[in-house]
Amino acid sequence: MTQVAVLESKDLCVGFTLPSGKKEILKNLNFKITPGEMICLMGANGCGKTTLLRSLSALEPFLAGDIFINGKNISTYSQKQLSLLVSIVLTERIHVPKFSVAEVIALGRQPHTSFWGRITKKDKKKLEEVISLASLGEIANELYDSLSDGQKQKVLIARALAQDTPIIFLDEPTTYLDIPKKMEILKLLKKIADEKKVAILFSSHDWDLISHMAPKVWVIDESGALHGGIAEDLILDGTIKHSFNHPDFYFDDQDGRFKEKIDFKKSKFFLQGGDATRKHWTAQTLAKVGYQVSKKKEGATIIEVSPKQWVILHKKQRMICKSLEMLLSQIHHFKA
Amino acid sequence: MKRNISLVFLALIIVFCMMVFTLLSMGPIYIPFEVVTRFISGQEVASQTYFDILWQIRVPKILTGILAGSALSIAGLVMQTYFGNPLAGPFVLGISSGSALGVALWVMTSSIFLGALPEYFNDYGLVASGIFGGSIILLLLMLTASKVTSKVVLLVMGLLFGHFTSGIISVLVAKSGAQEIKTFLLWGLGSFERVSGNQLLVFLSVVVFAILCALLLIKPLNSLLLGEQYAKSMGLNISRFKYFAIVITAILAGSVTAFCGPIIFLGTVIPHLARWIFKTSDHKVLMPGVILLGSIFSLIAENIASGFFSLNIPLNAIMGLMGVPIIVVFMWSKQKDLRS
Repeated sequence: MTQVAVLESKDLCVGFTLPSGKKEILKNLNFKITPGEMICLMGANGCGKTTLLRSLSALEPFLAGDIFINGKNISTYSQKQLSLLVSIVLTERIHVPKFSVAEVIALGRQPHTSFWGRITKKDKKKLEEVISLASLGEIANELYDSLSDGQKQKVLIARALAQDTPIIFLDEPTTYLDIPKKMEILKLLKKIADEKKVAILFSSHDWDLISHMAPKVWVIDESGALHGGIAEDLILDGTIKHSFNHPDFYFDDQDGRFKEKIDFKKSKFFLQGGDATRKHWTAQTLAKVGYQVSKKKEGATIIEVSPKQWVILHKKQRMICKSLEMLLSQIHHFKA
Repeated sequence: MKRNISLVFLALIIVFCMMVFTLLSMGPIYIPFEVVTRFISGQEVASQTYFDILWQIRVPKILTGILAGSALSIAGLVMQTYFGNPLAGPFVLGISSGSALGVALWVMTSSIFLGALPEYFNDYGLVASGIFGGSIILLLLMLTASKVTSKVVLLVMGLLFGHFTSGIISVLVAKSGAQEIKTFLLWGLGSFERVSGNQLLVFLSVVVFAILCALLLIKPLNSLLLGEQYAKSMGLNISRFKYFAIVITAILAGSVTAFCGPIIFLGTVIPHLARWIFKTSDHKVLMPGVILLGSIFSLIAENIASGFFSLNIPLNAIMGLMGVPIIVVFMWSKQKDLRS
């Protein structure tokens, strides 16, 4: 079941043209995106995510290769035709004084409206549909500038959606937001891709959320190569580990998370009893300050984990701690 | 919401008519209301003196005020949206100074050829040099704006361009004869009273043409509210828009400067008043809105100078005294917007 690609690149090279010559950032990019696909573009700061997105949306020229939209070369489209195919959400915050949420979203209809920008019945129907999809009905008449960052981001996504294009590019749509808002945005994007069969390509740094929520991930590694696939595949084949190299941190394959490299101290602890969750967080607390949890009782200090407290058994002493913070200070105390 | 906007327009039209009426009736010579009413309704006016004052002095003055007010306000609105800068305007960003330099060059040099040329050529030359001077500064500003994103830097650049052109003008003035200096200084104070006859026809046709062209910008200006990138992604051809906007803004600001002098602040103030009164940034409302408000604002200023109040102060003094407080209040309430 091979679907026709809505966006395709052949040996694409993106970068800047400086007075001193061309500066290539990413080259030999070959990829396809099909309708309804939602892809998260990841990579270290400055690796060229934004440049790639801007080149794909024709905001910036690319250096070599070809981009095809619906099978036709992007250079054969006029600005106007392109606006019916690609819409964008940028990372910069914008100020729009005295303009309501509904008016901002309605701007998305511009490529479809007549010379004077009159909103027809058909446009109105589309706008109502978009506003309800993004659950913005309650704030549709509020001023854009009075909204919170998360709401503004949703409005800008709704505007892109109102443009009714088969492709939407978003540059870091989850930056500046708190975790539930980030998840809300990702959920909305997923809904758009599933229900409207829109191809969505967005960049993000929120690996923890992306690995859980994004169906597909593209990772740009240190050499500038692009690896695509399901998040879990990329973990298993080591792509993630190798793409975000840092001397002080490592990628934990088990957890699928980046962690601090720790020089563990000699003394070890054995956690006894308690439920798995409490033991998990106890182990993490100890690891943060350099103590390892041992699987064997021998040679380790025993900590009894119970639903209400922690008890350290040390040299026939019993130290009762009500919180992990207290536990840490006790350990520091007798190790010193 | 829609009804509110219509009501505001209705109220403003009433104010506008009152301003026109007082300006027709009052001035150094008082003309009775019934004479003015007869004049407006097209009936014969018994006194030839009254008719001449109305037809040859007051009507041209009012028309000039309306044209200047509308033209500068539209120029200001286009610039504020394009630059995304709430303080932009033909005077603040130095367009008026550029026009002034063009006019000064024309006034100082045309006397050399003028004997050989018909008089109407002088009027066109005056307008053309004003427009040319203004468009050069505007072009420089747009180049600056494409390199720097800071709103404050752009404003400072506009100020600097303005000072530079003023410097050149001072050199020109210092090297001219007494008569030219006097003409130029009087022109610099700003006035709606010096345009008449053929000049008014030229002024009227140029401004009306440019305003009609500016109406074509309504849809692109709305998309530019979100910034250049979004406008582009919604199908706007930015470079074509840019040149079109430069030409129109320079025609509007340049022709007003050529005929009425460098009128200060009006172009910056009116778009803000319009957004505040109509409570929207939609250019479909703002375009007609600033035409009406700009006209009213200049007619009020003219009423202070020569109509109802007849205080006999230069127009630009009134513009400054009326305009600056409004800008100050605006900046005070919008400090946040100016930071980025």
